[in-house]
Amino acid sequence: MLVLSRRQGQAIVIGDNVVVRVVELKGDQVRLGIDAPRSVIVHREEIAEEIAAENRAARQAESVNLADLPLPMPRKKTDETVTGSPGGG
Amino acid sequence: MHEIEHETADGEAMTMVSIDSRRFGTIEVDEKSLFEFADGLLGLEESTRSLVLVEQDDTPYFWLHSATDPDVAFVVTDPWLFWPDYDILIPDEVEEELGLTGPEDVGVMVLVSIRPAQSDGAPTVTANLLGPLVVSSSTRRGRQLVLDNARYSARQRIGA
Repeated sequence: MLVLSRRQGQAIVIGDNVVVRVVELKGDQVRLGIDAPRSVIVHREEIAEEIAAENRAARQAESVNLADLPLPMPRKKTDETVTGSPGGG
Repeated sequence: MHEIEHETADGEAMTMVSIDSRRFGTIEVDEKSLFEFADGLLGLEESTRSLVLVEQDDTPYFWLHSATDPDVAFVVTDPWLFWPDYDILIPDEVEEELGLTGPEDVGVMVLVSIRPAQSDGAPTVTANLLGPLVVSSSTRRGRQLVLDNARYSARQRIGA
């Protein structure tokens, strides 16, 4: 692991296309500016943790009758092009 | 998971796999219908690399069942049925990894959590809009995305 220190306004460059700049320091918060191509996935670490926790919560131990779950609000007929079975059938 | 060779009417070889499920008993599915998630779902990586969609008539929900763990199944739905304005950005590298050929090849589903009611009320039903599952219907490869989008919640309420 590389550990280094930066001052406000300074940046680190990762590979050829990613620049992470310290934009602002305020108390115990750091505001970062991330300049990366669209193909690079950037997200806050705790988001993945939150999704993992919710995945575990979604695992169905109990028997659930799908027909008992809430239905979508009725919508106009013209929206039908965006619906369909997940997985594309 | 066991494999059984079959032949369809037009002579095409079809490999059926039987999947043990605590919920459905043993289900037989065409091997080609399995979705392969190379990295599995976050936090449940080992049991969710191979998944099968089990349809049920007359509901907007499906079962997404692990092909390798009889105890692992999820309720999933099409997010656009409930949130027409939902949008996701599929990063280029995911597009490449899954071999997505175009918009018609992309399937998106979200996991649904059902939490028992506190007293006699209805259970709380939520969908995870932050971690949608993206699959290719042609290559059958899939990945769970991690969206960093303040507009969406991992516990978006469905129904009142």
